[in-house]
Order: sequence, then structure tokens, then C-alpha cells
Amino acid sequence: MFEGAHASSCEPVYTNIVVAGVGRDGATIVNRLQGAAPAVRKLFLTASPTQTLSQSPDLIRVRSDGGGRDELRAALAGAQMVVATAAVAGREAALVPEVVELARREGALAVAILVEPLLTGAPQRSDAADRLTADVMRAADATIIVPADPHAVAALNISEAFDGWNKRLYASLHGLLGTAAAEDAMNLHMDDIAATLSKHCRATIGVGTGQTVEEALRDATANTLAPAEQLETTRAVLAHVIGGGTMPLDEARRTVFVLERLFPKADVRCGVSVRGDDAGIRATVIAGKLDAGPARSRSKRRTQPAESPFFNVGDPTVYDGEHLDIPAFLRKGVALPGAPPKPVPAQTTLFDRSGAEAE
Amino acid sequence: METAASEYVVALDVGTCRTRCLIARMAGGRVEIAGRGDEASRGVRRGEVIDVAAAGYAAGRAIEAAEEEAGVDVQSLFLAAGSRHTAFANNRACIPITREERTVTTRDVRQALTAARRVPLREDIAAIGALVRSFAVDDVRHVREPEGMHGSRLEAEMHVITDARGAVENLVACVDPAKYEVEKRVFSAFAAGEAALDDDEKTLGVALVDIGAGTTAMMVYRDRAPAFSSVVPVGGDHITSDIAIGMELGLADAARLKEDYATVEPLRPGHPILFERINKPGTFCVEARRLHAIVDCRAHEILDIVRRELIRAGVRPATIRVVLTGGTARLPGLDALAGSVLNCPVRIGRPTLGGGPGLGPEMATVAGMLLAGDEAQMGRAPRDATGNPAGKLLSWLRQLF
Repeated sequence: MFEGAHASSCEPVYTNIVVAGVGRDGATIVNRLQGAAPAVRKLFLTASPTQTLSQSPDLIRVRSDGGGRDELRAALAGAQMVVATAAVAGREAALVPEVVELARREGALAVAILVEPLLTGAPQRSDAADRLTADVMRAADATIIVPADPHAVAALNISEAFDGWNKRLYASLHGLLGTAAAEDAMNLHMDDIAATLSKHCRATIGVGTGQTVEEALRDATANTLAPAEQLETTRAVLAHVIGGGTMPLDEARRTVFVLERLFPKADVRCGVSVRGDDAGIRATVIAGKLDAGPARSRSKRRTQPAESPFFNVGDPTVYDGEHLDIPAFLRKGVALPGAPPKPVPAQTTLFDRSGAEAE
Repeated sequence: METAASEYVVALDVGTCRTRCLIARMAGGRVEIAGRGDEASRGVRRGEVIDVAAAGYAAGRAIEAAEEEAGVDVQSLFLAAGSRHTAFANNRACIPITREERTVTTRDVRQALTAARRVPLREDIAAIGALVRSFAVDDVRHVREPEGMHGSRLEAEMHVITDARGAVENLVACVDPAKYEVEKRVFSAFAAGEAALDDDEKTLGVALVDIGAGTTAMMVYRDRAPAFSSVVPVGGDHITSDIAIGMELGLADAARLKEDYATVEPLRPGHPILFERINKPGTFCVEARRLHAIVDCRAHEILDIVRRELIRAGVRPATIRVVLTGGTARLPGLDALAGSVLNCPVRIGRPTLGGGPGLGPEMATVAGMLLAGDEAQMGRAPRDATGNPAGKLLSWLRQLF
């Protein structure tokens, strides 16, 4: 029932997504995005291509003298969502505001992902990074800042630190792109993502797993790219829950209620995908408007769990298991004699029930 | 326009197919119909209001038509209730008689009845009526009038009829509160029984089966006491939709074909039926045997459901009588078919009001409400229990609900 119902009610959220890696670090991140959704198109933007990228057909050299802008505009044309990634401390990251600005002009949802370095540099470089972040936030619809992860810094050695940091970063990116390009998400539309990642806000992503929706959502919330305390101020949350065909319908229905409990001040939206027969549940949480200030006081009407399932096909009249709205002769297999009414010539005489000629 | 004073009783039945209103004047023990309104229902499905505004419009039109004919201004009315959520409970309560003389007084009876009608109900369930079944004083059972009897324990049993609170409130909402007050809700099958059953039938055992358009309401009496109430969501509309599907017609054509030609009497060889379809030019030929097969199949099923409900009520159909009311009871041959399916005597219940002209079985509910309403409003003995003190008690009790 669950699988059958979702098949006819879903459509891809975004069908044309461009992920642009800006600079060497950004290009590395994009290059390492393995198995991204088919709707995702990779693009590499650099001022001075490295050896590994120099032969890539998706490479665009954007030079300070204005060169490469037309190619960039052409590459972004028709995109519905553009995700630009860069290391915030890199020199070429200065291209990010220009890319997202261009993407917005092309009508795409522009999301910037800025990665802070694990090891801090000179004070001048930090100031430049701050200015760049401010510029990007002004230009992009939403900016996701990937901080130097405190857990990674506290790790025993640098190898562990990088591993943990990378794992979280790539899982989150996959979660974002998987949600944006989902073809099988029930109850999830472009407007949901656009409303969550809008108004030049700061945003974050988290991915989690669990045996129940609540476990998966809590895990995702605990593993976001932003510090947990920033989530308390979020005003818009979108969750994409993926479970196997054996996922109980009740679990899917609980997503909204769990989200409302976790983020009481936020507008919550959610979509559910059913894939395979995995027993576990995976959830991606995208929290937007982290810096939108305190929520306006409003009377929020809490939703209640429905008595009936999501996909109620009607309210049949049933008695002792018999579907009374279906004609009795069909259910009982009575072969009707004769044929349906046929038109007759106008001069035929009318008779009443007893067979007498009518007046 | 004269205001409807206490000698007038107004009854409203918001049915699936028709919304009917009757205004009756009580004159010298006779019930005279002063005005009637009959309007096609809207916004009602299977006996439940699904569009309050539409159903309220039809109800308002029916009341206004009755008001105009009667020349009175209606202020309060009795409303027929009952949906597929209707259920019942036969509830008992017992009080001790501790006084030295050990005589049952009016106050004891009142206390016992008050306790017996207190059935614990869920929040979404509402009581739409409570009827006295019987009393017991010590070990003497089936007592009709306990007052004055001697004993140490008085037991009362009541038949409490319930319905989904939402369904009842939606029904009441159809009556414009600014103009009319709903004085009492009356279970439709009980009302039909008041109009169509006589005392002997209630004593011997009878099932009142009110087959409407959307629902079939039932009430079983044994020993003059209500024993079972039920509503099943099947009725004449199912016959109409079967004809529409089997004959490949629209619902309006099917309804007209049913009204004019449908029968469950044994089919005689005859001419085909010729009729003109709505909004279709020319005359169409319908094979009577095809129509008969469709209607007979569904009528059999409805009656078989009635038979199963009677078995659920704990009565063997062969041991009681069945009285059919409601619009579908007008289907020619239905009483004979019911007799063969239920294996018991069956008749069509045609209500008579105060010796006036008989009404059709479709009017039983609304006519019965006039009688029940009259008894409650005038505070006198029921029509069929004149001189019987139990009638006075019953009448007084009905005012409680």
C-alpha cells in the first residue's frame, strides 16, 4: 500500500542541479562527491587550473580580466539550484559571490558552502575570510558554513581529525543533493527547499540513521555541520526521511511531530522516500534561517496524528466485509438478462407496468 | 403569522433523499396535520450530514413551506436522529427501599430511572434517547408500574440509544438556531414505531424496519419494551445506483426508473418498458427482466442484512413480526419478499394520525415524531396507552430527554 501509493504521487524535486567547486579546495570537494544524483551536474571553476583538473571538460577558467564569464553564464543557464563550494581561506574563493549572484540572476536557488580550514592562518587571512563570508551571505540565498569541527580538533591525531571531518562534510553534501534531487520523495516539493534556504540566511545540514524516525532525526540533528546551539535559533527545518518498504506508515507520519518537538520555533517541512527493503531509516535535516532572530509570536496550530492512513481511498460502506457500494449483482455474480436501454423509434406505443397501453 | 403555540407540534426529518417537515395541531385528542414541507435533501450521505450549509438550506425550505401552509411561526421542533454510528445499551440500576413501610414512591422511581440512564459514554458519543424497558421490585420482574408496590429493592432498566456526537451535532446545526430551537432529538426508528406499530405487536414481538434512502434503521420490541436498536448504511439509494450501473444510465434516470417501474414482485411476461431519459432525445426501451434482476438482487441483500441484524438482536425472525416503513417500503412486492427472506409475517407500516387519512410508509418517521412530540409536549398519556398509568410515566420520562 505504501509503495504503491507513493509511486503515483511523487516527482523529482529539482531536475537540474549544478554543483560548482570553486578553487582548488572546492574542486576537490566536488571531485570527491561520489555517486551523486543524476540530476547533479559538476562544474569546476578556477583561475589557475591544477594538473588534475586541466583536462576536465567541466572546467571553466574564470579570470580577473573578465574572461570565462560567458562560459560560466552558459553553464549555469537553466539550472534550478546551484551549490557553490569553496574553502573560505582560499584565494580563489573570491569567485563564490560572483557565482551565486549569477545563479540567482538565472533564476536558480543559490546555495554557498564555505569550508573553514582546520588550521587557522594569519590574522590578515582570517579577516579576508570574514569579509568573504559576509559577501557570500549577501549574494546567496543560503550559506552553509562548515566550521573547523571541534570534535575533529579534539581527536587524538590529525588523521582521525580529517577522517571525521571529511565524513561529516561529504555525508551532509550527499544529504543535501539527495534531498534536492530526490525523485521519490512524497510530500516534498521545490517550494519546500526554497522556503527553507531563502532570504540570505545561514543554514546547516545533518545526516543521521536509526531504527525509528525519531532516532534518525535525533542523530541527524546531533551531527549537523553547525554547532548544536545554533540549531536552537532555526526558523525553518526541512527533513527528508528515507526508509525501506518495510517502514511502518506510522513512522513516516511521526516525522512532523518529532520535528515539531525538536524545533519548536521553526516551520517544519518533511518528505519521505521509500527505497529497497532496508530495515533502518536515514534522515537528512536541513535547517535554514539560523540567524533570522527570535521567532515572531504567533498562534501555531499543532497538527494531530490522523486516524486514517495518508492514502485513504475513500469511505466505503462495508457490512460484514461486504462492500455495499458495489452493485449487489456484481458482487454476487448475477448475470443480468437482456441489454441496457436502447433507443426505439418514436412511433412505438408506451405501456405501463401492467402491460396496459398508457395514455 | 400566528406563533406556534403549545397545541402545535413540529417534526423535522432530514433524510438522505428527502427532508420533510410536518406541523400538527392537537385538537381534542386528534392530530391534525396543519402544514407540511417536503424538499429534496442536499448535503446528506448515508444518513449523515456532510454539508451543513446545504442540508440546512433544504431543512429551512421544508420548514418554511410547512409554516406557510399551517399559517404559524415555528419556534421549536422535534428532530429525527440516527446514523450508522447508532448503538444502544440496555442499562440497569438498582436502588434500595429502606423506609420502614417499604413502599415504592414516585421519588424512588425517579431515582432508579435517573441512575439507569447514566451510561458511561466516550466523549465522542452522545445519547439521543432513553426509553424505559421495565422495572423489577425484589424478585418480581417485568413490572410496568412499580409505584405503590412493596419491596426492599427497586430495579429499573432503560434502553439508551447513542450516536456519534459529531453526527448529532451536525444534524442539529442544520436547523437555524436563530429561528428555531431543537426541542428534542428522536431516534428515527422509534418515531416510526410510534406511528406504525400497535400495542399487540409490541407485546408479541415486532421489528420496525425503516428502510430509507441512505440507511435502514431498526428497532425491536419484546414485551412492549424496546430491546434492540440499530442502523445499517444501506437503503434505497443503493438500488438506484445499482440500476444506474446495470442499465448504464445516469442517477436521475435510474431514480425515475426505480420510482415508476421497479418491482420485486414475481415478473410477469409483458411488454418492455419504454421511457424518456432526462436530457436525452427520443424514447428508450428497458427490458423489465433486467431491471427486475437488478432490483431483486439488491432488495434480497438489504433484507438479508435485516435478517442478520435481527439474529444479532438475539431474536429468531420467525418468532416476531416485521413492519416495514420508509420510502423504500413502497417498492412493490417488498413485503412479500421480506416475508420469504425473513420467514415471518411482514406488513407495510402506514401511519395514521388521530384517525385521519393514512399516510405513506415514507412519512412514518415524521408522523411518529408528532406523536412522540405531542406526548412529551402535552404531558399526557401516550396515544396508545390511554388509561394506562405506565403511559403517564413514560410520557413524564420522555420529557427528561
